[in-house]
Amino acid sequence: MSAPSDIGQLRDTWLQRLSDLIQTIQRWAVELRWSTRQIEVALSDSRLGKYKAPALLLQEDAIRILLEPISRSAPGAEGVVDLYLMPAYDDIASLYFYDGDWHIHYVVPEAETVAEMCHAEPRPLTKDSLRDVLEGMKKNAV
Amino acid sequence: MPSSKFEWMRRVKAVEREHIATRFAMDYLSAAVQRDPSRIGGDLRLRDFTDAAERLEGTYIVRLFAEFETCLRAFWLVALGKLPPSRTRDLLDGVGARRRIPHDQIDNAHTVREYRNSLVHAAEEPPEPISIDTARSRLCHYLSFLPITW
Repeated sequence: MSAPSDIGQLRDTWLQRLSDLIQTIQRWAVELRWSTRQIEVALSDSRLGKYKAPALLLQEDAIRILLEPISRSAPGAEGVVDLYLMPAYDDIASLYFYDGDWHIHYVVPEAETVAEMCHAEPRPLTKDSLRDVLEGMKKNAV
Repeated sequence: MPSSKFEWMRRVKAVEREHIATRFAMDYLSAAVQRDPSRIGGDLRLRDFTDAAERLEGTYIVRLFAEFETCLRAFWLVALGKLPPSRTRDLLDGVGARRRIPHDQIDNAHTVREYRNSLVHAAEEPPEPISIDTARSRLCHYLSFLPITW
Protein backbone atom coordinates (compact mmCIF):
# COMPACT_ATOMS: atom_id res chain seq x y z
CA MET A 1 0.00 0.00 0.00
CA SER A 2 1.32 3.46 -0.93
CA ALA A 3 2.04 6.07 1.72
CA PRO A 4 -0.14 9.20 1.55
CA SER A 5 2.79 11.28 0.28
CA ASP A 6 3.35 8.76 -2.56
CA ILE A 7 -0.31 8.97 -3.46
CA GLY A 8 -0.17 12.75 -3.38
CA GLN A 9 2.87 12.71 -5.64
CA LEU A 10 1.20 10.28 -8.06
CA ARG A 11 -1.87 12.51 -8.24
CA ASP A 12 0.18 15.69 -8.68
CA THR A 13 2.27 14.13 -11.46
CA TRP A 14 -0.83 12.91 -13.30
CA LEU A 15 -2.70 16.21 -12.93
CA GLN A 16 0.34 18.17 -14.09
CA ARG A 17 0.67 15.86 -17.10
CA LEU A 18 -3.00 16.42 -17.91
CA SER A 19 -2.75 20.16 -17.42
CA ASP A 20 0.25 20.38 -19.76
CA LEU A 21 -1.58 18.28 -22.38
CA ILE A 22 -4.72 20.39 -22.21
CA GLN A 23 -2.80 23.66 -22.45
CA THR A 24 -0.92 22.36 -25.49
CA ILE A 25 -4.04 21.08 -27.26
CA GLN A 26 -5.92 24.26 -26.38
CA ARG A 27 -3.17 26.34 -27.99
CA TRP A 28 -3.06 24.20 -31.13
CA ALA A 29 -6.87 24.10 -31.38
CA VAL A 30 -7.11 27.89 -31.22
CA GLU A 31 -4.44 28.14 -33.93
CA LEU A 32 -6.57 25.71 -36.00
CA ARG A 33 -9.60 28.02 -35.40
CA TRP A 34 -11.49 25.80 -32.98
CA SER A 35 -13.07 27.40 -29.93
CA THR A 36 -12.24 25.73 -26.62
CA ARG A 37 -13.53 25.61 -23.08
CA GLN A 38 -11.83 23.92 -20.15
CA ILE A 39 -14.09 22.07 -17.75
CA GLU A 40 -13.58 19.90 -14.68
CA VAL A 41 -14.61 16.24 -14.40
CA ALA A 42 -14.79 13.88 -11.43
CA LEU A 43 -12.57 10.81 -11.62
CA SER A 44 -12.22 7.77 -9.41
CA ASP A 45 -9.07 5.71 -9.09
CA SER A 46 -8.31 2.62 -7.00
CA ARG A 47 -5.13 4.24 -5.61
CA LEU A 48 -5.87 7.97 -5.82
CA GLY A 49 -9.50 7.75 -4.74
CA LYS A 50 -11.90 10.42 -5.98
CA TYR A 51 -10.50 13.63 -7.41
CA LYS A 52 -11.20 16.36 -9.96
CA ALA A 53 -9.30 16.66 -13.23
CA PRO A 54 -9.36 19.04 -16.17
CA ALA A 55 -11.05 18.20 -19.48
CA LEU A 56 -11.41 20.21 -22.67
CA LEU A 57 -14.34 20.92 -24.99
CA LEU A 58 -13.54 21.92 -28.57
CA GLN A 59 -16.05 23.27 -31.04
CA GLU A 60 -16.07 24.31 -34.67
CA ASP A 61 -19.50 25.16 -36.11
CA ALA A 62 -21.78 22.27 -35.11
CA ILE A 63 -18.92 19.84 -34.41
CA ARG A 64 -18.19 19.35 -30.71
CA ILE A 65 -15.35 17.26 -29.37
CA LEU A 66 -14.53 16.30 -25.81
CA LEU A 67 -11.03 15.56 -24.54
CA GLU A 68 -11.65 13.52 -21.40
CA PRO A 69 -9.08 12.00 -19.02
CA ILE A 70 -9.71 8.27 -18.52
CA SER A 71 -6.92 6.81 -16.42
CA ARG A 72 -3.49 7.70 -15.03
CA SER A 73 -2.21 4.24 -15.95
CA ALA A 74 -2.85 1.42 -18.39
CA PRO A 75 -0.74 -1.51 -19.58
CA GLY A 76 2.26 0.07 -21.29
CA ALA A 77 1.11 3.64 -20.67
CA GLU A 78 1.27 6.25 -17.92
CA GLY A 79 -1.92 8.04 -18.83
CA VAL A 80 -4.94 7.64 -21.11
CA VAL A 81 -7.13 10.42 -22.46
CA ASP A 82 -9.99 9.91 -24.93
CA LEU A 83 -11.38 12.10 -27.67
CA TYR A 84 -15.12 11.84 -28.22
CA LEU A 85 -17.48 13.25 -30.78
CA MET A 86 -20.29 14.94 -28.87
CA PRO A 87 -23.11 14.85 -28.02
CA ALA A 88 -23.33 11.18 -29.01
CA TYR A 89 -20.14 10.39 -27.05
CA ASP A 90 -18.79 8.41 -30.02
CA ASP A 91 -15.25 7.06 -29.61
CA ILE A 92 -12.90 8.75 -32.04
CA ALA A 93 -9.34 8.57 -30.77
CA SER A 94 -7.30 7.81 -27.67
CA LEU A 95 -4.14 9.47 -26.39
CA TYR A 96 -1.59 7.35 -24.53
CA PHE A 97 1.41 8.71 -22.61
CA TYR A 98 4.52 6.53 -22.99
CA ASP A 99 8.22 6.99 -23.71
CA GLY A 100 7.91 10.44 -22.18
CA ASP A 101 5.34 11.76 -24.66
CA TRP A 102 1.73 11.58 -25.79
CA HIS A 103 0.76 9.37 -28.75
CA ILE A 104 -2.52 9.41 -30.62
CA HIS A 105 -4.34 6.22 -31.60
CA TYR A 106 -6.87 7.13 -34.22
CA VAL A 107 -9.09 4.85 -36.25
CA VAL A 108 -12.03 6.08 -38.23
CA PRO A 109 -14.56 5.05 -39.27
CA GLU A 110 -13.99 1.28 -39.33
CA ALA A 111 -13.19 0.85 -35.62
CA GLU A 112 -16.28 0.00 -33.65
CA THR A 113 -15.03 0.00 -30.09
CA VAL A 114 -12.56 1.63 -27.76
CA ALA A 115 -10.75 -1.71 -27.53
CA GLU A 116 -10.08 -1.69 -31.26
CA MET A 117 -8.46 1.74 -30.99
CA CYS A 118 -5.73 0.28 -28.80
CA HIS A 119 -4.55 -1.57 -31.90
CA ALA A 120 -4.62 1.48 -34.15
CA GLU A 121 -1.33 2.66 -35.59
CA PRO A 122 -0.09 5.28 -33.13
CA ARG A 123 1.36 8.66 -34.09
CA PRO A 124 3.20 11.11 -31.87
CA LEU A 125 0.86 13.88 -30.77
CA THR A 126 1.77 17.00 -32.73
CA LYS A 127 -0.18 19.92 -34.10
CA ASP A 128 -0.24 18.13 -37.50
CA SER A 129 -1.53 14.82 -36.11
CA LEU A 130 -4.15 16.68 -34.07
CA ARG A 131 -5.26 18.58 -37.18
CA ASP A 132 -5.61 15.28 -39.09
CA VAL A 133 -7.78 13.86 -36.33
CA LEU A 134 -9.95 16.97 -36.09
CA GLU A 135 -10.40 17.03 -39.86
CA GLY A 136 -11.27 13.32 -39.82
CA MET A 137 -13.79 13.91 -37.06
CA LYS A 138 -15.42 16.67 -39.06
CA LYS A 139 -15.73 14.42 -42.13
CA ASN A 140 -17.04 11.56 -40.00
CA ALA A 141 -19.63 13.76 -38.33
CA VAL A 142 -21.11 15.04 -41.59
CA MET B 1 -27.01 12.56 -7.26
CA PRO B 2 -25.56 14.64 -10.10
CA SER B 3 -27.48 17.68 -11.32
CA SER B 4 -25.29 18.19 -14.37
CA LYS B 5 -26.18 17.01 -17.86
CA PHE B 6 -22.57 16.29 -18.61
CA GLU B 7 -22.09 14.08 -15.52
CA TRP B 8 -25.13 12.01 -16.51
CA MET B 9 -23.82 11.60 -20.06
CA ARG B 10 -20.53 10.42 -18.59
CA ARG B 11 -22.39 7.88 -16.45
CA VAL B 12 -24.14 6.49 -19.55
CA LYS B 13 -20.79 6.30 -21.36
CA ALA B 14 -19.20 4.61 -18.33
CA VAL B 15 -21.72 1.75 -18.58
CA GLU B 16 -20.68 1.18 -22.19
CA ARG B 17 -17.01 1.11 -21.15
CA GLU B 18 -17.82 -1.43 -18.41
CA HIS B 19 -19.49 -3.56 -21.05
CA ILE B 20 -16.34 -3.49 -23.18
CA ALA B 21 -14.22 -4.56 -20.20
CA THR B 22 -16.64 -7.30 -19.19
CA ARG B 23 -16.95 -8.53 -22.78
CA PHE B 24 -13.16 -8.80 -22.95
CA ALA B 25 -13.05 -10.78 -19.68
CA MET B 26 -15.99 -12.96 -20.72
CA ASP B 27 -14.43 -13.86 -24.08
CA TYR B 28 -11.16 -14.73 -22.35
CA LEU B 29 -12.89 -16.88 -19.74
CA SER B 30 -15.18 -18.59 -22.25
CA ALA B 31 -12.20 -19.60 -24.36
CA ALA B 32 -10.41 -20.94 -21.27
CA VAL B 33 -13.31 -23.09 -20.06
CA GLN B 34 -14.00 -24.44 -23.54
CA ARG B 35 -10.37 -25.53 -23.77
CA ASP B 36 -10.52 -27.09 -20.33
CA PRO B 37 -14.06 -27.64 -18.92
CA SER B 38 -12.55 -29.03 -15.70
CA ARG B 39 -11.83 -25.40 -14.73
CA ILE B 40 -15.55 -24.84 -14.20
CA GLY B 41 -16.34 -25.02 -10.51
CA GLY B 42 -19.43 -25.24 -8.30
CA ASP B 43 -22.82 -25.71 -9.94
CA LEU B 44 -21.76 -23.95 -13.12
CA ARG B 45 -21.97 -25.61 -16.53
CA LEU B 46 -20.45 -24.69 -19.86
CA ARG B 47 -23.94 -23.67 -21.02
CA ASP B 48 -24.06 -20.99 -18.28
CA PHE B 49 -21.02 -19.31 -19.81
CA THR B 50 -22.54 -19.42 -23.29
CA ASP B 51 -25.79 -17.90 -22.00
CA ALA B 52 -23.94 -15.19 -20.08
CA ALA B 53 -21.89 -14.29 -23.15
CA GLU B 54 -24.97 -14.17 -25.39
CA ARG B 55 -26.94 -11.97 -23.01
CA LEU B 56 -24.13 -9.70 -21.87
CA GLU B 57 -24.86 -6.80 -24.21
CA GLY B 58 -28.58 -6.87 -23.39
CA THR B 59 -27.78 -6.83 -19.67
CA TYR B 60 -25.66 -3.72 -20.13
CA ILE B 61 -28.29 -2.04 -22.29
CA VAL B 62 -30.74 -2.47 -19.40
CA ARG B 63 -28.19 -0.75 -17.11
CA LEU B 64 -27.48 1.94 -19.68
CA PHE B 65 -31.16 2.78 -19.93
CA ALA B 66 -31.50 2.73 -16.13
CA GLU B 67 -28.91 5.53 -15.87
CA PHE B 68 -30.72 7.50 -18.56
CA GLU B 69 -34.12 7.06 -16.90
CA THR B 70 -32.76 7.97 -13.47
CA CYS B 71 -31.36 11.17 -14.96
CA LEU B 72 -34.73 12.13 -16.47
CA ARG B 73 -36.57 11.41 -13.21
CA ALA B 74 -34.04 13.45 -11.21
CA PHE B 75 -34.29 16.31 -13.69
CA TRP B 76 -38.10 16.29 -13.60
CA LEU B 77 -38.23 16.24 -9.82
CA VAL B 78 -35.76 19.08 -9.30
CA ALA B 79 -36.34 21.25 -12.37
CA LEU B 80 -40.12 20.94 -12.51
CA GLY B 81 -40.70 20.54 -8.77
CA LYS B 82 -43.15 17.67 -9.01
CA LEU B 83 -43.21 13.90 -9.21
CA PRO B 84 -42.33 12.52 -12.64
CA PRO B 85 -44.86 10.37 -14.54
CA SER B 86 -44.71 6.72 -13.62
CA ARG B 87 -44.72 5.52 -17.23
CA THR B 88 -41.32 5.86 -18.86
CA ARG B 89 -42.90 6.59 -22.24
CA ASP B 90 -44.63 9.64 -20.73
CA LEU B 91 -41.41 10.69 -19.02
CA LEU B 92 -39.49 10.74 -22.33
CA ASP B 93 -42.29 12.58 -24.13
CA GLY B 94 -42.77 15.03 -21.25
CA VAL B 95 -39.11 15.99 -20.95
CA GLY B 96 -38.93 16.12 -24.73
CA ALA B 97 -41.81 18.58 -24.91
CA ARG B 98 -40.46 20.81 -22.14
CA ARG B 99 -36.95 20.93 -23.59
CA ARG B 100 -38.17 21.17 -27.22
CA ILE B 101 -36.18 18.09 -28.16
CA PRO B 102 -36.50 17.32 -31.89
CA HIS B 103 -38.99 14.54 -32.64
CA ASP B 104 -36.40 12.33 -34.33
CA GLN B 105 -34.27 12.41 -31.16
CA ILE B 106 -37.28 11.53 -28.99
CA ASP B 107 -38.20 8.71 -31.38
CA ASN B 108 -34.62 7.41 -31.24
CA ALA B 109 -34.72 7.33 -27.43
CA HIS B 110 -38.04 5.47 -27.62
CA THR B 111 -36.46 2.78 -29.80
CA VAL B 112 -33.95 2.11 -27.02
CA ARG B 113 -36.75 2.10 -24.41
CA GLU B 114 -38.74 -0.40 -26.49
CA TYR B 115 -35.71 -2.62 -26.95
CA ARG B 116 -34.96 -2.43 -23.20
CA ASN B 117 -38.58 -3.42 -22.51
CA SER B 118 -38.27 -6.42 -24.82
CA LEU B 119 -35.16 -7.56 -22.94
CA VAL B 120 -36.85 -7.22 -19.55
CA HIS B 121 -40.36 -8.42 -20.40
CA ALA B 122 -39.79 -10.90 -23.27
CA ALA B 123 -42.06 -9.24 -25.86
CA GLU B 124 -44.07 -11.41 -28.27
CA GLU B 125 -42.86 -9.36 -31.22
CA PRO B 126 -39.45 -8.10 -30.16
CA PRO B 127 -38.13 -4.98 -31.92
CA GLU B 128 -34.95 -4.97 -33.94
CA PRO B 129 -31.94 -5.44 -31.65
CA ILE B 130 -29.93 -2.29 -30.95
CA SER B 131 -26.20 -2.44 -30.28
CA ILE B 132 -24.92 -0.84 -27.10
CA ASP B 133 -22.98 1.86 -28.93
CA THR B 134 -26.08 2.85 -30.90
CA ALA B 135 -28.12 2.89 -27.67
CA ARG B 136 -25.52 5.06 -25.93
CA SER B 137 -25.37 7.43 -28.90
CA ARG B 138 -29.16 7.87 -29.03
CA LEU B 139 -29.56 8.37 -25.29
CA CYS B 140 -26.63 10.82 -25.03
CA HIS B 141 -28.05 12.80 -27.94
CA TYR B 142 -31.36 13.09 -26.11
CA LEU B 143 -29.63 14.10 -22.85
CA SER B 144 -27.67 16.80 -24.64
CA PHE B 145 -30.91 18.83 -24.84
CA LEU B 146 -31.18 19.09 -21.05
CA PRO B 147 -29.86 22.24 -19.38
CA ILE B 148 -26.18 22.19 -18.38
CA THR B 149 -27.19 22.06 -14.70
CA TRP B 150 -30.48 22.04 -12.80
